Amino acid sequence: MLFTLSVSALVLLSLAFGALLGFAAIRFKPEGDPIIDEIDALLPQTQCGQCGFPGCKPYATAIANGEDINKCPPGGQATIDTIAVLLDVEPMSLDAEHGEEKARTVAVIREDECIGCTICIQACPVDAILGAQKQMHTVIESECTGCDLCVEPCPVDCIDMVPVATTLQSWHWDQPKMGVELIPAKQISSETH
Amino acid sequence: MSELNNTNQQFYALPGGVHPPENKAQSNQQPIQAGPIPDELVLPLSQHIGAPSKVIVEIGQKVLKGELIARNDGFISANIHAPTSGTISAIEQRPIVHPSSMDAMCIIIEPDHYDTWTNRSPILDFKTLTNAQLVEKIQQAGIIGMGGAGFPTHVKYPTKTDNIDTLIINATECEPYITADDRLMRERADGIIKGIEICQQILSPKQVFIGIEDNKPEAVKALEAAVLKSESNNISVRVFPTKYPSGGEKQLVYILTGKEVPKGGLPSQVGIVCQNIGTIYAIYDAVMNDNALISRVTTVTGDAGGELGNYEILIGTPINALLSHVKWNEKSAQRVIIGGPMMGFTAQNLSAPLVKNANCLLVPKKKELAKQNPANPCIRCGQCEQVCPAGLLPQQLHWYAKNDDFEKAKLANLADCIECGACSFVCPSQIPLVQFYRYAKGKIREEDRAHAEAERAKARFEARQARLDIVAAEKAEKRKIRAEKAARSAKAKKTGTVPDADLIAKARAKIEAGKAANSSIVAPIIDLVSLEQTLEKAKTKVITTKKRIEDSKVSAPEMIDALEIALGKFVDNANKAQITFDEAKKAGTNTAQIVDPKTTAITNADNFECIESLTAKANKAQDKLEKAKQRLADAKENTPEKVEMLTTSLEKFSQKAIDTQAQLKAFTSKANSNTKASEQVVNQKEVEQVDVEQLQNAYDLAKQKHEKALVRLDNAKQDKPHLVDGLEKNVSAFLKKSEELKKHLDQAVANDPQALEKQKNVAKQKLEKATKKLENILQKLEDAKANKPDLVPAFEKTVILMQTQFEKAKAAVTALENSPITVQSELNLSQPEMIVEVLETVEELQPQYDQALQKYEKALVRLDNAKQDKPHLVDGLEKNVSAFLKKSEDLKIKLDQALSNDPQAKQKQRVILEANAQKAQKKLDVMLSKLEDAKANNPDLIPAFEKSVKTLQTKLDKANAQLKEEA
Amino acid sequence: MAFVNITSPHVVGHNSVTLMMGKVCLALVPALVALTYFFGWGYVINAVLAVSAAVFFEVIITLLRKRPILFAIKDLSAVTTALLLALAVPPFLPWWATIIGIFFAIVFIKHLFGGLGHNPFNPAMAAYALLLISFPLQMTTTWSIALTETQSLLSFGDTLTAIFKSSNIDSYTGATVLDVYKHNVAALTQNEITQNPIFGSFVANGWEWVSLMYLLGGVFLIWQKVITWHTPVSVLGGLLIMSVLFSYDADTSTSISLHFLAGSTMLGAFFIATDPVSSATSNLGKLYYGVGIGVLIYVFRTWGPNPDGFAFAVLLMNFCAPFIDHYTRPRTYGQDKATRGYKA
Repeated sequence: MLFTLSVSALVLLSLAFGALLGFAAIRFKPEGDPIIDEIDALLPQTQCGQCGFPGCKPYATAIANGEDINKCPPGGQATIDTIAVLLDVEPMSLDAEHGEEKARTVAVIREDECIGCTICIQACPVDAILGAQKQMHTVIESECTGCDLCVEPCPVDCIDMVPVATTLQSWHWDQPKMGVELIPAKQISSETH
Repeated sequence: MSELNNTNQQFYALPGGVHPPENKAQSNQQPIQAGPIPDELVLPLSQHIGAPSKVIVEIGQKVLKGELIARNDGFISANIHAPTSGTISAIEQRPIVHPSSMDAMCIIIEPDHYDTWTNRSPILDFKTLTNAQLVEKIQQAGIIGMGGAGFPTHVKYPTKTDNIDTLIINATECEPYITADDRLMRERADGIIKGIEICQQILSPKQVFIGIEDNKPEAVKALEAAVLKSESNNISVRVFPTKYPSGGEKQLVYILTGKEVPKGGLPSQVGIVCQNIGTIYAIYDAVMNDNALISRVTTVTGDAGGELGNYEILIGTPINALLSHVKWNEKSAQRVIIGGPMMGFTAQNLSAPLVKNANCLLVPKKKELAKQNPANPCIRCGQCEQVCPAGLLPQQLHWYAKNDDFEKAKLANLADCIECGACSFVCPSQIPLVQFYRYAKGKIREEDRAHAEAERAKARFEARQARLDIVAAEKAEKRKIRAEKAARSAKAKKTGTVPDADLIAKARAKIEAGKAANSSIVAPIIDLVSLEQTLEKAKTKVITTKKRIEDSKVSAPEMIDALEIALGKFVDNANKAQITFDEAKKAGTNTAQIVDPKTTAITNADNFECIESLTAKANKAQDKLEKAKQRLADAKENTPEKVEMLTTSLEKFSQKAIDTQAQLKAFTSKANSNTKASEQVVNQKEVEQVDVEQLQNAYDLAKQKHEKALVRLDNAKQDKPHLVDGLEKNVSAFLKKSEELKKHLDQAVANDPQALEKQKNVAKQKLEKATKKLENILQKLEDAKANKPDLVPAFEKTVILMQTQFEKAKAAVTALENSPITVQSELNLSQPEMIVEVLETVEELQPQYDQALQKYEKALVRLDNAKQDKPHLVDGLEKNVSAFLKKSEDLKIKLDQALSNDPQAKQKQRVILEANAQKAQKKLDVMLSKLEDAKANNPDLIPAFEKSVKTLQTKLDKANAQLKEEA
Repeated sequence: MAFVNITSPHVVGHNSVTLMMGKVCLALVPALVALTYFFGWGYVINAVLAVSAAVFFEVIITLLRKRPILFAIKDLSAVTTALLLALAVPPFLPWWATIIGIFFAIVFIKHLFGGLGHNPFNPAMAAYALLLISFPLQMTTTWSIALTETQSLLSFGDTLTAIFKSSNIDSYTGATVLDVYKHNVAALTQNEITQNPIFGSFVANGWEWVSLMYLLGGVFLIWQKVITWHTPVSVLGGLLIMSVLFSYDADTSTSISLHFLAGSTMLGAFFIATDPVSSATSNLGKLYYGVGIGVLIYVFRTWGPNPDGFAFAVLLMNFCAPFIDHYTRPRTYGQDKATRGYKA
C-alpha cells in the first residue's frame, strides 16, 4: 500500500515537474545563442584569422560548439582566462601553434615604395587602409588592429609592423612584485621594489 | 561616525587615517626665501588637468616677466606666462616630472636676469569689478589648483552660483614634511583673507570655512587675526585634530560639514567649493596686483636637502637648479621626491622642471625614511581596512589587483581610491598597496581603451562584410540576368523568332543617345589658324584621292568604286571646312563652329565636286535604294509591323538617289560641255600639230581612252544601267577622236621624212613606260601575295594587262626596227589576251628578291618587338619570318638560275639596281623636302618624317651598296 | 645618480608580520604560565616540541617549494600556529600525535594551499580536528587533573617520559570539566555535579585562571591593534545568547559561567577565531563570523558528541568566510549603499 502510494506520488511529481520544465524550455527559449555574442564581446576583434577561423565571430561560434579557447594570440592569456570564467571551463595556456602573444603593433606603409596596387586595401578586414588605384596608400593608425593580414599580399613588401609607442596618456605602472619573487635574484635592500 | 566638539563647532571624525611622523619642524622655522633665477626655465605645456596650452610665441622672441606665452586650449585649460624676462630659446620635448620619465613639449626660456615685469595694472578695490571680470582675471592669470591636482581654477567658479553655500579653504597640509602653506599663512595672512573675500564676492556662500589642522598653531593665530581685521563676518577658522589624510578634498568636506561628495561627482553637487589656500593667495595676487601665476612657495626638506626651508621659486625652475641653490647633499641623498612622503613620486631626471603644483622637494638620506622590505604575502589582517579614509577594502583590492581580476576590482570600487597611502603605511607585510592600485587603474584604463577599439574594429569589420555581400549579391543578380538572356536568345535563335525587343530598343536608344551626344557636343572653339589647317588637309585629301582614282583606273579598276565613295566623303569634308573657314573669316572672330553643310548654303565657288565623287554618290544612293527596296519586300512578307518604318526610309533613299543623279547629270552636262570645249581645244591643237611624235602620242592616248571607255561600258551594261547612256556617249566621242587623230597622224607621217625615227622614239618611250608599269605591278603582286591575299586576283589581272601592254610596246619597237614601212597605226591595235606566263627574267626576279629580303628583315624586327610585349603575336610572326626567309631563298635560287641563264643578266641586274638606287634617292629627296616643310609648318610631324628619312636613307645606302657589290 | 624609482608612499609604519606574530606569542605567555602552574609541564613540553617540529617542517616544505627559507621562517607564523596547537591539545598527548598534528597543520593546511596568507582554514584547528578524529582515545584520556591541595603534578622528567614513552599516568589524567558536566547533566543536578573535586571552589579548578589569562592576552592584542574587538566580542556574544536561551536552567544543561570559563572558550575567542587569514575581512563580516562561531560552539557542546567542539565550529565558519566577505562589504565614501554580492 505504502509502496504503491510512494511510487505513484513520485511518478506524479516527476510528471508535473517535467511538464513544467518542458513548457519553460519552449515558452522561454532565447533567440539565437546569446553565448556566442558574449564570447565575441570578449575577443579582441582584430579579425586576423590566427586562430584558424575567418574572423572573431566565427571563432566565437566555434568556441560555443566546443572548440578550444586558447587559440587567440592577440587576446592573450587574459582573454583565455576571461572566456574560461564565462564558460566555466579550465583556463588553458595559449596554444603556441597559433602564435605568441606579442606587444600591440600597427601596420605602417613605406610610402616611397608603394605602387598603388590596392591589394592591401582589399586584404584589410577592417578597412583601415586609405587609398585608391595608382594613388598613395596609407594605414589609418587609429583603426589598425595589427592583424598582420596586409603584409604578405603586398607585392613590393613595403609594409612594416611597428609596435605602438606608449604616450604619456597610455603609460601606466607595472605590477609590483611581492617579496618572494624578488629575493632569490637580488639582495634585500631598499633599492629593490 | 563620532562627533568631536571643538569650540562649539561640530566636526565629523574621519574614518580611518594614520599618523605618520610629521617632520615639519625641519622646514618651518625660517621665513619664505626667494628662489633662484636659474639659467634655463622649462615650462611644460601641460601643467594642469585638461588640454595642454597652445604656444603663442616663437623661438628667439623676447618676453617680459608675466607675459603670456601659451594660451589655454578650450575651457578646461590654463594660460602659461613667462616667469621672468628673457628669450624663448627653444620649444621642444624635454623630460618632465612624471613617473614614466617620458618627455613632453616645453617652452624653454633663457632668462636675461633683468627680471623686468610686463605691464601690470593693479587695482585698489576689487569690489568695483563684476563677477565675470573677476573670473576673467583669474583665468587670464593662469591659476590652477596649487594643492596638487592642478585643476584650472576658473572652471570652479560657474556663472550660476545659486547652489553654492559653503566655501571651504583647504589649509590642512596634512602630509608630513611639507610646510609651504604653513609659512604662507604665517606671513601673508592678510593677502589670503583678501583672496577669500574675492572668492566670496564671486560665489556669495553662506559660510566660509578655513580647515586647518591643530599642528600649525602659529598659522591659526595669524589667520584668526587677519579674519578679525577683514570685513566679512562669515569666515571661520576651523581647527581639527591632525590626522593624515584629512587634507584630501572629499575628506575635508566630510570633516567640516558631514556631507559626502557623491561617488564620481563634484563637491559643487553638494553645494561646496573647495580651494587650496595657496590658490587663494594666487587669486588675490592676480586680481589686486595683476600678477600672473609665475611663482609658488615650495618646501625643500629632507636630511640631504641642504638649507631646508621654503622658497618662492619661479615656475619652471629645474630641480637641480633649486637643489644646487639650497646646496643639497648629493652624495648622501637616497632619492628625490616631488611632493610629500605619502603621495609624492620620485624624480628620475633632475633637469625636469618644478611646475605650478609642485609643493615640496623631499631629499631624504638613506636611513631617514623607513626601509621598505620585500613584501610578505598578505596575511589578511585587515589593518588596511581600518585606516582607509574612503571606506574601501584595500585587502580585497590587493588580491584582485594581484590576480588581474579587474572586474571584481571595479566592483570593490577601486576608482574611489584617492591613493593616499594610508593602507600601505600600516600594512604589516609591507606590501606596496598603492602601487598595486595604480597598476590596476592603469590596466583598467588600458582595457577600456582596447575594448572601445575592439568595438570599433568589429563595427568596421561588419560594415565591410555587409558591403562585400552587397557587391557579391549584385554580381550574382547580373549573372543570373545575363544567363537568362543568353538562354532566351539561344532559344530565339533556334526557333528563328523575332530578336529581343529589349535589345532593339536598347540599340536604338544607344543610337539616339549617340546622336544626341554628337549633336549636343559643342564643337570645340576653333580659331582661324586651325580652320585653315583643316581646310588645307581636306583639300590635299581630295587631290590625293583623285590621283589614286586615276591610278586605280589603270591598275585596279575594282578599287575605283571604293575610292570614289571615299572621294565623295572627302569632298564633303572639304566643303565643310571651306564653309567654316569662310564663315569664320566673315565673322572676323577667332571662334567658329563646324557648320553642317546641309544647313548652310553651299557656295559653288569652291565646290570640290567632280565627276568621280558625284558618280560615287549617285552609285551609293542607288545601292541604298536597292537595299531598302529589298528590305521592304522582305518586311512585307515576314514582319509586317516594320513595313511602315521601312517605307519611310525607302522614300528617303529614293529621294537621295534622285538628288544625287540630278547632281551627277548637272555635273556631267557641265563636264561634257567642258570636255567638248577641251576637245575642241585639243582638236585645234592637233590640227596645229604636225609633229609626228606629238600626234603619235595623242593618237595612242585617244586609243587608250577609247578602249577604257569600251570596258567601262561593258561593265556598266551589266550592273549600272543608268550610266550606260553617258558611257556610250563617251565611247563614241573617244572613237571619233582617235580616228581623227589617226588621220592626222597618217598625214603627218606621210609628210615627215623622219617619221620612222620619231615613231621609234615614241615606241621606245612607250616600252620603257610599259616596263616600268609592269615592274610596279609585279611588285604589288608580290606585296599582295604576302600581305593582302584577297587582292591577289586583282593584281594578277592587272599583271596580265600590263604584260599585254608591255608585249605590245615591245612588239611595236621590234616591228618598227624590223619593218619600218608597215602601217604603224596598226601597231596599237589591242591584242587579245595573251597567255599569262610568270616571266622569270632577271628584271622580274631581282626586284622580287630585293623585296622578299626586305620583308624578311622587317618581319624579323617585328618579331623581336613582339617577343617583348606582345607574346600572343610571336607565333604568327615567326611563321611570317620563316615564310619570308623561304621565299627570299627561293627567289635567290631562281635569280641565280636566271642570272646564269641570261647572258645579259648582270647588265639587267645592274640596270635594276641602278633603278632601285635612283628610286631610293628620289624618295629620300621627297622625304627630305617634306621634312623641311614640316619643320616650317607642322612641327608635330617632324619626328615621323625624321623616322621616314632614316629608313629611306638606309634603303638608299643598301641600294648603293648592292650596286657597288655588283660592280 | 641612479635613484630608486618607486611610487608612494615613501614612508611606512613600523609594522611587520613578525611583530604581529610576536605580539600574539607574547599574549599567550601568561596563559602558558597559568597552565603550567595548574596542569604541569605538559604544556611547556608540548609547546617546545610543537614549535621545533613546526619550524623543521616549514624549512623542509619551503625548500621543496624553492622559496627563500629565512624569509619564510622570519615571520613567526609557524611558531604561532604551533603554540596555539600546543595549548589546545591535552598536556599528556603522545609526542607523535603532536608531530602528526603539526605536520598536517604546516604542510597540508598552510603550505599546500599556497603558504602564508593563503590557507582557507585555521591550521591549528584543522590539526586539532584531525587529531580528535584520528586518535580519539589519546585526545580524550590525556587531560591532566588540575593542581589542588590533594592533587599534585608530575615532575618534569616524568612528564617527558609520559609524553615520549606513553607511560602510564592514570592517576594524573582525568576528564575535563565540560566532559564531566556533559555526561552527568542528564542524571544529576548542578549541585551534585559540582561536588566533583575538579570543579573547585569557583567554577572549575584552575581553568578560570587560565581563561582569565587568555582574556588578558586578548585585551593586550586589541590594545596593540593586532586584532579588532569585533571577533572576540561576537564569539562570546554568540555563545552568551545561545546559552542564555538554552542554558537558563543549570540543572539541565551546562551553566553559562561554565561555558565561558571552562574549556577553551577564551582561547578560541581571542586567539583562534581572530586568525586573520581564515576569518572574515570587514568589521561587519567579523561580527557575523564571530556570532556564527559562538552559536556553533554552543551547539556542538550541547548536542554534539564531543565535549568541546570549538574546533569544528571554527572550521565551519572558515568555510563561510568568503561568502560573508562578499555580502558584508563596507560602504565606500560617496556611496549610498554598499555593494553586496558578486555582481554590481
